[in-house]
Amino acid sequence: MKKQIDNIWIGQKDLTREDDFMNTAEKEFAEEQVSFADMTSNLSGNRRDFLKFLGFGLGAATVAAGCDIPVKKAIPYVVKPDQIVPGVANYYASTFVNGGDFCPVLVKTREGRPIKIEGNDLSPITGGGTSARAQASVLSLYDTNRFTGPKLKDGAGWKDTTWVELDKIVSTTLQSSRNIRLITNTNMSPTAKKAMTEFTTKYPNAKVVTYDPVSCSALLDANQKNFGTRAIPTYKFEAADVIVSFNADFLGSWISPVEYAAAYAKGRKIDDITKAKMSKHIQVESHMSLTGSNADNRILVKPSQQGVAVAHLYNEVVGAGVSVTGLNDKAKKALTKIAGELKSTSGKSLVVSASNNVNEQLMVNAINHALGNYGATIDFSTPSYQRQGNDAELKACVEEIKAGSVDLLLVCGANPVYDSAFGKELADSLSKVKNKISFAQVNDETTDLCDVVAPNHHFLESWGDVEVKKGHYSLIQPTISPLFSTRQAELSLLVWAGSTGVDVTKEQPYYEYLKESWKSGMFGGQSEFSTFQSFWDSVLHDGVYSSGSGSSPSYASAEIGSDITKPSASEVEISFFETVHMANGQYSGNPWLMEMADPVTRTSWGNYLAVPVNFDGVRTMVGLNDLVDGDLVELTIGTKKMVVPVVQQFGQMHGTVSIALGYGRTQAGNTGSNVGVNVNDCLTMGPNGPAYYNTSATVSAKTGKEDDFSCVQYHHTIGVKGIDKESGKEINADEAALVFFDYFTGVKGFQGALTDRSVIYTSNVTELKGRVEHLQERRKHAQHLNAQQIYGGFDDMYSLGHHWGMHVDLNACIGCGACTVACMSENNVPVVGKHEVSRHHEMTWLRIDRYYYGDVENPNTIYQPMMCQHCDNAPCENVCPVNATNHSSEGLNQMAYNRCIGTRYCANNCPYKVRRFNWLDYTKADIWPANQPRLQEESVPFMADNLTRMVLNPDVTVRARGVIEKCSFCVQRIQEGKLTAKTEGRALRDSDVRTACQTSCPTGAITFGDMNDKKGALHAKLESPLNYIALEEINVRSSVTYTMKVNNRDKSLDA
Amino acid sequence: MSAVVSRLRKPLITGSKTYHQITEDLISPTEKTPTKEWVIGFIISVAVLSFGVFCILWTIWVGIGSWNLNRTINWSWDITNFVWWIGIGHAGTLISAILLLFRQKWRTGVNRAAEAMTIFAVMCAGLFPLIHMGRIWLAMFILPYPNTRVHFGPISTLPYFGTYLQSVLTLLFPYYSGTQDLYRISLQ
Repeated sequence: MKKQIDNIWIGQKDLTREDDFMNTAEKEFAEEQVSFADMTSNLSGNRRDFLKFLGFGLGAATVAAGCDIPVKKAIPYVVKPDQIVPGVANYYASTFVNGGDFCPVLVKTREGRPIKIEGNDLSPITGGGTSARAQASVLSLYDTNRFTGPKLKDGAGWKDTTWVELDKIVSTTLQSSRNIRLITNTNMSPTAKKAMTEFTTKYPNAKVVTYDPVSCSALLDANQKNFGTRAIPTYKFEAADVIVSFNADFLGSWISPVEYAAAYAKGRKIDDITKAKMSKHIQVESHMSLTGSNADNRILVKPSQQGVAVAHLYNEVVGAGVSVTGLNDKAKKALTKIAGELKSTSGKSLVVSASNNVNEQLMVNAINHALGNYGATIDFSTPSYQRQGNDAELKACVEEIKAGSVDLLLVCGANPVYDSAFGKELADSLSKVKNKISFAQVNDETTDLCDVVAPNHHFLESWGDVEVKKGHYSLIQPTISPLFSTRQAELSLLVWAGSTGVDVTKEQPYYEYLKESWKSGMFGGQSEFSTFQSFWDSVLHDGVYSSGSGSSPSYASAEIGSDITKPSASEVEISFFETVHMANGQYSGNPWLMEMADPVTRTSWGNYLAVPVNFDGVRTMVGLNDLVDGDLVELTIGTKKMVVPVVQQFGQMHGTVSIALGYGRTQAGNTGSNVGVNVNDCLTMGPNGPAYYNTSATVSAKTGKEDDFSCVQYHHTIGVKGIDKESGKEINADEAALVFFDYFTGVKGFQGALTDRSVIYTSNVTELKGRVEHLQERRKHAQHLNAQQIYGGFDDMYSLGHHWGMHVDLNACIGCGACTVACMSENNVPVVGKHEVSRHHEMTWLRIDRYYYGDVENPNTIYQPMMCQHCDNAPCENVCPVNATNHSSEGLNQMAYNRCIGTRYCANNCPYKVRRFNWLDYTKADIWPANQPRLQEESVPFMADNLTRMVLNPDVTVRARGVIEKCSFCVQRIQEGKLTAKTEGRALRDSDVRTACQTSCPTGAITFGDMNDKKGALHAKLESPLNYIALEEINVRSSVTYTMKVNNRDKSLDA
Repeated sequence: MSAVVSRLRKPLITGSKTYHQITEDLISPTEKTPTKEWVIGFIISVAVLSFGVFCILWTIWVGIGSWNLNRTINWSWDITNFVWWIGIGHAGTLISAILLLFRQKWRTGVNRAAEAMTIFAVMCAGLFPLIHMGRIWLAMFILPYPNTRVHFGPISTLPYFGTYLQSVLTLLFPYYSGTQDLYRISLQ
């Protein structure tokens, strides 16, 4: 009987339930019934009818067995806006800026909401690259922890208010305040500065105090002394043949990593192996930073010896006689040699330091001056404004707060209670400030102590401008209407200042103010456009604008004091560093960045104490205090005790340990709160400001084991050489360490020893020719083996049409991880949380394997981005019982998520282990109710609630529980490229399709393209003799090619 | 009725039993009420079975993540256990088939129990290829129904069809030997 749903009918006959209608309604198909006689008589009809019955029966059973398809609502535009075509993305040029972090971006929006960040190719500074932080910034727009409107403090929580109410309260407060302080991080916006000036003019007792979460104040002060500008010069890493960095992580987090990485990589790529030339990079540090892992030589000095290390180089280069007692001998010898090299490459070298001691920075400036670098590799005609913090001013402000003389404190884009050196003092004395206003978007430690929140827009909802360097501007434009009732901080200041320059009745007052500012400012300084509107349209379209640069101030020597970092005789020293993904806690609330594995330690969801490890000469890698990965220890710094998990770090200097900043936050939403330990209150206060190390550190023995040790790569070394205890000879420490018995043969080493597979190839630049020959030999041998196949003759299967492939230049890859976050962003990859990552259930499609090679005590590092290799002879395709994974005619290994039943045979068979299985319901994309462990007790899985879902890419399926997923070579972008080419009536060009990992890379390490396109960029890259295919000998015919890693290590510096 | 005793070989069944007595010996357990020990054993078995059913349902509800498997090997207990139970099943088949070929008469004392055990072992094994699937509710995709996919017959369908074949064969052995018993019971 036909099921009847009450009160619904489809026609008059249905309503009256007439007989003939009911009869026809019951029949599933319109054609007449097939009789048994027909079936048996006509043979050709027989098969069809049988199939009809079979198909119908099966289909009916399936439909009956399945659940009702949930009703989804699709609401089309009634009046479609001109620019929006549903299904086609719009790109807007904007800028990612957060304090001093800067990256010009193109924001990809779909149906009016931003979903992906790309780099802006037109930027002369970054050249189109991005960083992991920039890639993840789109997610923070959809943060469920954001303030939804202006708030007033109500006990421990917040109560809503309106902007009108808030303005009234603030005006009365402003009138009655004697001293007003506005604490902010680096602000590079000329228009925002204008707004602040209007504010401080209206309230003359107001002062703006700028500080940076990781301070560069000493560098700025030194430049002020030597050059008269309190700014950072442009460092031209591409022009430097020798780079010496004293603890400056310029590739990861120091000042402008995207810019520096792009420039640095230019000097590292090998184009011609016969005339191989690459820069020499020496890092002087104690812990293995991202930059240090890319360096050719690392000179190990304890954190307290950084001062005398700089002083020694200063002595050698300039010829001075500063005392360098306390510097270890090895470093002394190495630095002497380096000084010699520097002097011989004058004008082509670069010395930088991250020290927060003015005298050390003055010494570095003097070194650079003596080497003739100013004007060559260091350019002061375009000073960078990416750090403007002033430690002295912050200290004064904190003193004022402690004395109770500040009546009103405004905090804009800063979290001083957590990340400044005076965090604890501020937390204790903020109650003395009568009124505190925060502009924060999300609640944080400082905002939690404030009375009023006037939440700022996210940068994707804001108007603004950025003057990152003198004469180089970048605009911020909104890509979505403000999601919540927030207001731009600059506008708030203008309103409170009663500014006449802003008209609050306009729809977007700050936009008008910004335009006015540009009209009276930048428009006048150019001659290309005659009307302001055309100028503005052009600049807004490009997103970047460069006016002429000024002249360069000359170096004026200044007296260098003797107060530098003093070496300590302490047994264990600890250094603190800023990670690529967390900064100093600014990004704790971003799950993509929390889950991103730290490039060096390969840990996530917390900070881990990096302890030194060495080879005992027999068979074990022994860590400090016999600690192994995942052990818990009690770390005592000064009087503060904390329990931290440990990770063994190759290259960590003996007598030192290190731990990352930016964790242990208490108010960071439900992602970042209570993850890791806070070390911001363990900094050493130097004469100028905080120094990021501490000499009174003790590490206990193992106190336990961490429950969820979330490290994604346990294997660290790949062929490191150590000294054998018995024979004193150099042996392969990897093989000795891994084997605990020698198969009763007396020979150490195990079958298929790790180093015998073609995973990575390395070479020193001096022996390049020989090593390339060795590589070619091994490739020939592998190819010979591969040619012995039973089913031959299929080698040309993909020679017609497209054959998609990828080339990864390991000499350009610095391991920054921007590509991993870009892939997560583009492909709706779920975030699984710490517990799942510790069970090896992380879902990132693209991982960056990090291997140490060379000397076991002071190794070199190689980063290898590993994604699905799209093997033409894929071992995964053969074993799927339902054929969910198959090969396209263009060489792509495809994954049909709907077909997958989750047998995981393909994941087992994959030799590269790039397939990811949805072990639990991470996405709520299936018929089962949400029933999974959460990141932090939310009610639906992350990215399944309605706000966070807005970041999902509509072109990519969200996978259900029980389905395998993997890199698809951004097949949605390939299809988009094909459609665009088809619409334009032309063939698809190699450069039309760029994968997410390719576009996000700051150094251009990844190239995707058509292997069959002889004129394409990929084909050119595939000509290099340095190329090899990972695990070529197993005959899977991978489509991804890597290059041999060439380093420029000088063995004499290690002696 | 007296037992038929052969002069050429030793009697297979000792104790001078008649056919009727042997039938009684074999069938009496099905007619008597179960003993206390049997009931206790049964209750324990059912408890363990229901725990097993609960575990399977929990797996299907929550996902394979509840098993704590991980990379780089995504199988452990599931497929290993499957192979184990298939092995047990082989033991029963061995007794029925190989021992028959080698004319080992002593097998008759154990082959009923062995074949019954084999059936259950194969049933148990057949569970695993189903419950280890991430999306068991789509298990019908394994079946070779007509579809647009040209390629069919990959390696990993072998466990499914192999198990099916084995279970068919496993059922055939007790079928042939069991019809006798069923006839006897039916006479009672």
